[in-house]
Amino acid sequence: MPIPSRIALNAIECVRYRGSKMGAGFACINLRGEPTAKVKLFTQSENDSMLIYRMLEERLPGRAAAKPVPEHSQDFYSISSYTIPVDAEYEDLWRAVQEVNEAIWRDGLKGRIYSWGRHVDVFKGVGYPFDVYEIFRLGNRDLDGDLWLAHTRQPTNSPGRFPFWSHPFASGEWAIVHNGDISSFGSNIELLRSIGYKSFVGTDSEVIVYLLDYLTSFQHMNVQEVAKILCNKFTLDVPDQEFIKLLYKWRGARLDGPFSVIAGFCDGHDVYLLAFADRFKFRPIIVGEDENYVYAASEEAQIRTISADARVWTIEPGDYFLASQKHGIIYPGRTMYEKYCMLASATKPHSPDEESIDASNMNYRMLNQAIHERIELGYRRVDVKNVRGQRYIGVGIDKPATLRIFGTPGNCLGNLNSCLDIEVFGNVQDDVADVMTGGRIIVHGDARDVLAQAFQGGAIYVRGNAGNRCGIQMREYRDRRPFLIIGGRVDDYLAEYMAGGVIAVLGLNYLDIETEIVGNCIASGMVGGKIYVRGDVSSSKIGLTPPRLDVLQYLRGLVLEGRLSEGKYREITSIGDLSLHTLKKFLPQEISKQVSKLYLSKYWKELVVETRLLNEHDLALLQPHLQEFGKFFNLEREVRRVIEEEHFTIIYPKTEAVTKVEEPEEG
Amino acid sequence: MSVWRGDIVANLRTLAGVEGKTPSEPPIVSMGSVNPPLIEAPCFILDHIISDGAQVTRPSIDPYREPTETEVYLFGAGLRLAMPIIISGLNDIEPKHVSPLIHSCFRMGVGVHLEGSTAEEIPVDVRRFVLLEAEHNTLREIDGGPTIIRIDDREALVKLMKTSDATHLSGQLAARVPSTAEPAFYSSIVDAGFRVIIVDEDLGGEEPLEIALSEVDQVLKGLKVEGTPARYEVGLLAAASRIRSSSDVFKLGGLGADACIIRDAWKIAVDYRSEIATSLLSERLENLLIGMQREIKLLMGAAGVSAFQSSIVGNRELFRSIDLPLKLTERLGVKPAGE
Repeated sequence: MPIPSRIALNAIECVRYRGSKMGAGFACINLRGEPTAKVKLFTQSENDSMLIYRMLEERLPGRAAAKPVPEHSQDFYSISSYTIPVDAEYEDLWRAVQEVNEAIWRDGLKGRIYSWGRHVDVFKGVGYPFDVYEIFRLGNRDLDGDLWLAHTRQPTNSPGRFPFWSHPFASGEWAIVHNGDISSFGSNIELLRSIGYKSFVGTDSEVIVYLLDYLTSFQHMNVQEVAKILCNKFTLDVPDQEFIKLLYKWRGARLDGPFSVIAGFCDGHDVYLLAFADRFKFRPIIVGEDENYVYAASEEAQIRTISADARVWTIEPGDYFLASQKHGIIYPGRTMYEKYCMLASATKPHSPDEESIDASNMNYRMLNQAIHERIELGYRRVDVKNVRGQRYIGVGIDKPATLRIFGTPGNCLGNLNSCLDIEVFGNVQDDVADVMTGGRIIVHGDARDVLAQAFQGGAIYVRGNAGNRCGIQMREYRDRRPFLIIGGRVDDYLAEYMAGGVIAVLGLNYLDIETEIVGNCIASGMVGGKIYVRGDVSSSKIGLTPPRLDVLQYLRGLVLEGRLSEGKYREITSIGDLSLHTLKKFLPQEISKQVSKLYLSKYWKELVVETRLLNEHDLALLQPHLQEFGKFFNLEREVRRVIEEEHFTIIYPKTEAVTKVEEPEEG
Repeated sequence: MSVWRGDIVANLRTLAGVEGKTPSEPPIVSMGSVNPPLIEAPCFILDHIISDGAQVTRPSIDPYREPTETEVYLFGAGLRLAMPIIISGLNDIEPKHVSPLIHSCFRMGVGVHLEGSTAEEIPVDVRRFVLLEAEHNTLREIDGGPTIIRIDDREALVKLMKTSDATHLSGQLAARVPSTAEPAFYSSIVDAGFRVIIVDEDLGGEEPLEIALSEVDQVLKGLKVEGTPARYEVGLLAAASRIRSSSDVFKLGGLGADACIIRDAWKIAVDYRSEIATSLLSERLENLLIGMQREIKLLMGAAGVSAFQSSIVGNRELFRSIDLPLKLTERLGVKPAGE
């Protein structure tokens, strides 16, 4: 079913606060393309547009089918958009665009060709998304697309005054929107120059779309292969030699530093939606599907604007999501995503009070004001319905009360919370419960990245999964100890720099299968507190382990010197999990001590890792919270099973027992 | 003024465990610097180049808690080094120390540049990590691993090609050349089938290493091998006795070196004297290499980068220059600070 432009506008205006008036745009992709390429350019005047027309004519004689047509009347700081239909082979057109863009900037003209696809059409300018939408009169154009992209911009490294720097960026039949600041930019641009790209507006976003176009159009690589190279995922396993060779050859296309990218592409036969995130997951990205459509966005609230019941999930760090119009989801960006979504999509038994605040059409200030007013008036329970992306909910309230949220609250929910019980019937987004000191947050769904950063008192219960960097820098002080309980799984960097408190990850959605319910580098830099993860956790996922190949290389060297037997070495190469913990089990003490220098440093101490059933001390610590968790989510049976029958991997620092086990209070 | 400033030597020896209490541990420092060119006097172009560093939208990475990849591949990903370092200068040390030190490098996944030895003396496994330099100038590979041929200029290359049968080359050939930036010379080297080029300032040449390296990187990017830019098929190494530290390795990486050949710095670090016990020298070398790898990781982390070869090598955008003539900054492709 074709998608009208209005839907793209609504979804991007939902996160208006993420952007600024310094740039916004849309891209529409259709399988039924134009018969000729639509070359779209920005210039300062009709004269300049004719100049560019002639430059194209000179390079592609007889191919520019018509003179430039202005696309809108109102300009962006004296710059307007024009369109020229051009009928040429892609490679010739691509070369002509490179040369013309180079010549325009060399000659000091304020202008640029910014799109040249048959299937891709870009509308971008200066202003908020709504402004750009109106200037291009997208609402009146009867424009339907098989795929829409939309973007709002907060410029950091390039100016926002002119539309050249606005997103989407396009190249051929690709268009992308990007959030981030890639540190590999200089390397990527070096590759592009060496393969014939001549002109750049200078942003990293443009570089990404050029790489996608070059590798698919000119190197004829498939989209998944290209996505894998660009994403540059960390892996604990050694990739196969062919993939290493591919990564080596196209190392100039690998991306580093923060990014999340959503791209649309048409190869003439099918329309693709590609979304990917960097290896550290420094930027948010969420994907979803319902009966008719697939989605990718920075915030879940955007997807909810279009589809109240879509199934949503996040892409794993350094991974990609690919779907197409004809084939549906080709690669979901997460292993076992159906199971992943199971807990969050369970029925929500509660409904809001009749007196509840209706958050539709309220921005975050209005909503927070309304909540504050009720609590000041003495309400002990406030219900809010139709919440969709409003930030900072529950911040700055110092009277104990219960706040019940129906919908999808925006980022920074319950930051600095000291006394509220916040219960959310839905998923929560990023940065929930930063520096929370008391109260409770109960989420009947998933939480996304950076949940419970510097959390230091109270309890957080999440029925479903949580994302990257949960519980980082958690801490405790005297009797103030925070408890974070996750019903599902978590991604990388759980409890990084943890200094106190208790985390439990239960993986209730994976009880029937053998799988690890945490990502990589958990407890990295942990100095205090205690972590309980249900099931086994490979010890190479705990903290940071040196590359497997480096460890094997070192041991191989010892074999050559006759200090380690060939048989022992071969035995070790067959072990998947080459942590120091494992090596100590297999190697003579003297050897493991020598190898330990690859693992340990003054700033990196070994942690204690135990795998066992919960004992009475653990239960004294955990049971009250686990039972409360079970009650809230109607998961009492599952929790009981976990307590009584399941093994846990228990992680805490060696140096001292920061977490003292106390007797449970009477009554 | 000495190349080997006191603080550089002290740091090397601390890393090697000759001085101080904690070998292999780079000091953790905060903002600010006593380094050249603004405080200490600069010796080389390298001293005028600084790392631009991470900032709020592109955060730094803590390499003690999060992965940072220092590995580099050479010879079409046929050789993997654990860090961008190759040790050289072993031919003038006491023979009894040579083999154990090569083994130390092997364990650490670090390459070795060896002149005037024969393949028979080196165990087969280790041979893969040793760039063995042919004694005579013939275009012939030495069995079992990478072979270096020294080529002084274009005429020498032409002569070499005439006298050699180049049909049996397996792609493990490296050319060691003086510090020159002549495009035609490098074009011939690539055509001849060399898949690694070592720009060695100790062989002479009319350009400083920094300039020659950076320009060769650009020349190789303009050439093609099987339809793709030659630079992505041909490894580039920087060599000079004056490469002093991880920070030099890091900056030379930015100018285009996949790895650096360290000739003197390691000897100063381990306080090399022939009478020191071999096992102690080995231990110190390993300490040093672990320490330098950590320093490189810290530098990468500070620049918001997690992979050396794909994100640092040739990434001039991550660097800035201070007090260099405009003409030099243009040749280096490094912007002046503040831009």
